[in-house]
Amino acid sequence: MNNIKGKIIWKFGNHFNADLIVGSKYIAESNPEVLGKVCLADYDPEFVQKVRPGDIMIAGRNFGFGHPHQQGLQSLIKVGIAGFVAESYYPNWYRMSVSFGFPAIICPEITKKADVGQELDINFHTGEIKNLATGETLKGEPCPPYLMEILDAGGLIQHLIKQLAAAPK
Amino acid sequence: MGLTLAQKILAKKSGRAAVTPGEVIYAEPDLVLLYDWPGLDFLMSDIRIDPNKIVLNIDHFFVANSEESARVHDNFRKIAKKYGIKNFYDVGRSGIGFQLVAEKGHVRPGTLIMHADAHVSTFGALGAYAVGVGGDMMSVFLLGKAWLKVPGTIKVNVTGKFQKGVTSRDLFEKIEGDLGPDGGTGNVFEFSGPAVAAMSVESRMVLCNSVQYLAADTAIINPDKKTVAYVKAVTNEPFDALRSDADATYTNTLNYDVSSLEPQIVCPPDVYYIKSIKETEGTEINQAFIGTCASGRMEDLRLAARVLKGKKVHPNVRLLITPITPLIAEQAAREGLIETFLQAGAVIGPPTCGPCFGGFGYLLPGEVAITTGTLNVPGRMGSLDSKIYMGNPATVAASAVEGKISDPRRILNKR
Repeated sequence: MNNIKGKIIWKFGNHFNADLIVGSKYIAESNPEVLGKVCLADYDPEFVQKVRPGDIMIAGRNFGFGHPHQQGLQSLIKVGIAGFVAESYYPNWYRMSVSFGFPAIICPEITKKADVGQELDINFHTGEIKNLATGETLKGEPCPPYLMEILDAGGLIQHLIKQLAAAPK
Repeated sequence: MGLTLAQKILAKKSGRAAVTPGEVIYAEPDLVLLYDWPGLDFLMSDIRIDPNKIVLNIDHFFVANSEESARVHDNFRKIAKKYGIKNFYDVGRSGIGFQLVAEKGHVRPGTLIMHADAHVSTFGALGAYAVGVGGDMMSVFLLGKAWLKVPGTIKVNVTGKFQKGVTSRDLFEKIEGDLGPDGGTGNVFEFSGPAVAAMSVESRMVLCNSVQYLAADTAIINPDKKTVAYVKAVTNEPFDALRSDADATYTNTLNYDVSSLEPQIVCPPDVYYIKSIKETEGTEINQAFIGTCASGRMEDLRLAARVLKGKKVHPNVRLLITPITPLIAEQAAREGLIETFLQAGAVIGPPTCGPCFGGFGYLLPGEVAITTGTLNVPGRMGSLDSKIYMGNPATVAASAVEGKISDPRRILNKR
């Protein structure tokens, strides 16, 4: 995977319940078009007008806590969020990110050293995150090789298809 | 250097001599579980593993109540038939999976278990490594493996003796309140000590049920004589009762003395808002519910019956009780507990997850419930403007009698 370079469009606090990205009303919604239209609308009704494909998001500790449904993640993907940096993730949310081929990295100091409007350059192989606004390089956790394979394939289903095609009949 | 039980199982199931916390491995489960929920059948679009490793059960919809749930059930039946899955527990022969699968002898110490749902940590009580992997179950059904990030182990050493009306659930909630919603990130909880040794297997299952709300990967308890007796009574399959090494490395060790522990109440709006009974007593309720994978076992029902014996459910309250499996329902009937519940004015429901996710027992705006459930986020049991408190079965029973959140020790200490 190449570096991901993008502007921070949103900063979440600690223990953010990812179902709130679309709101409880939409956690069973199966149409990605609808999910894209309601992204973070409860927090900023204009958000979907402001966000640009390639933007990134940052968060504090334990992002995705609770009983995360895939709709929140689908909504972020639909509006074009290219990557995510959090101080830590709720285990099921992190797993879901990998499965959807959505690049998410851990950096314990991200909310102290970066903010909305700044641009980051993220290297998932080394874990290095450059804040282009401050010039500072932050130390994130490199993406483990097995998980990089899934991200590179574009997600779990594409990765499984590749493996099954390669497996002896 | 020694390994913890969790690390031993993960090493064995990933074909390594040892594993290191933080590394990502592929591990092959011995037991693969799934229940009826729309979309989960999609994870079984193709199955290429030994069908004897798979156990499917019906628990979320005890009988279909919509075309959608009927289709999920129909799909489960077709999948079981197509792939020769003999351990499929259909309507009437099922019950809540996080008890049923152990009762039926499928859970064995020293094994690796995977489910989409992280409440499978319940089976850590039997010395298995039981982990929720969400949609990665598709990888399990196709390739027989899924990736895991090897966790560290936090040891929780529990001493003392529980007061009457205080249970292992209260200990869990106390830990949740103390450590907060990410107190277990990157770790499993290993519960140990004399108070855990004194617990029944059922109480241990309750203790392990919801560690996902600490962001932990799962929970585990070293098998002892009680574990071995429980498992041998339900299966002839051999097993290896692995235990943590004496010189294993732990992330840290926490000590809890339960002697002075009080009933704990989980408050709205989320699972980590924990208060003691004293701080919440008097809150008026409309509905009370005893059941779910976090309760509804024999000990829970006996405790509720001890509170409800000879009492009546408050006129303003609906009390619903759902034994966790048909076997438990049968035993509760034999012991006269069902009679006690019915005489008190409770509704006895089928063995289902139902009310815990709003399947029935809808709450209107402004209504308040107290339950032994697993989640209390707004809207979980009905209106977004209703409130859900959670407590142990004695607390829920006492609250149903009083019409408001009440300390069960007042009733129990007179018994």
